[in-house]
Amino acid sequence: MADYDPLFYEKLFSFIKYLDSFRLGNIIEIFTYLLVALLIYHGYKKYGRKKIILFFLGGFLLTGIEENFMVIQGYFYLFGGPTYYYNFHSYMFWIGAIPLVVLSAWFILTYGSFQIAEMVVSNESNKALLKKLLLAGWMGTSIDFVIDPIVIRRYAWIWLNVKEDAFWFLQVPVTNFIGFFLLVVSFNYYFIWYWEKYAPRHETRSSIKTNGVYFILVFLPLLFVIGIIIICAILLTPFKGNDLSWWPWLN
Amino acid sequence: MTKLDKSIKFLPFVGYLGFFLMQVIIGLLLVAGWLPPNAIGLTDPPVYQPLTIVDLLLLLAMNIPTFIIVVVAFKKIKDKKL
Repeated sequence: MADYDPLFYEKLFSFIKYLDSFRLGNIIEIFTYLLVALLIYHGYKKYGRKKIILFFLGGFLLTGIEENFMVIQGYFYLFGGPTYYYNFHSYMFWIGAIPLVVLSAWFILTYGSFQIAEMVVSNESNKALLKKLLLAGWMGTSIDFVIDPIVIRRYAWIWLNVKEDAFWFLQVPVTNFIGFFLLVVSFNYYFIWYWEKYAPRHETRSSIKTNGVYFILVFLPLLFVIGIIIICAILLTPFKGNDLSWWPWLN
Repeated sequence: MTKLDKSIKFLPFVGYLGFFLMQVIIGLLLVAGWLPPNAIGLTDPPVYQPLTIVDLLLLLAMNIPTFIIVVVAFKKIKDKKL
């Protein structure tokens, strides 16, 4: 049965884990950072410098904490045992247990999906925001259907749950896809809610305070997602041990 | 308005589809067996059925609704300003 990297805890807080992680294959990582830069430029033109930086950093904080929490709590058996971890040999730069490129990819999917969804749904349509959020959530998650089955075969990350402990889709726990969908939806909603509803009601606040509160309240979508994931994990208990995919389990 | 400013509205497509395309390329390289094995550091790593071109096509087919959304968005935005 697969286990954590032998030096998992020793290397947990290193920005660079192993020197063999610098390979030609890291071109993908560099391209991802370039795509992030392009989207930040788009956001700068559309929302202004402050808002796009806060979108990026807010998402960084949200996913950084959420994913580090999921990996590290699994390592310490806090809530039922091992979950998953990213292969320390596969990525160049790290924030705790999470590769920098994963956080960057999350920004591309969250921001890119919502921008495309905005183009599709007219602002005049009934429940326009809800439709945009759901479309963005779907678009973010559907890419995940392709990413996960491929990268687990590259050992870019390794699921440690045994088959009987989860309900699987394409050999990936279903809760992973649900969490991804909810993160895209809830973070985009939070960004819009904060700048269109919350911040205008507190216009007298200084810019520093407005930005500070933004980073504190970003924990609201995080708590929402974790809460729903826990509920889903409980509701999916009868399906544990099943996998909706065409691949056989080889071990 | 500069040429760059005019093309800014297409950047979400570049970001989203660019990222998607990278995954497809990794998949194709994996199917072709052109990717060197990744270091794992584990004595007993999980074992998976190898990815085939049919698997990859099936995974891509799951994204057909997303492609439709992207095409509709592209058609709608083509003549609009940012």
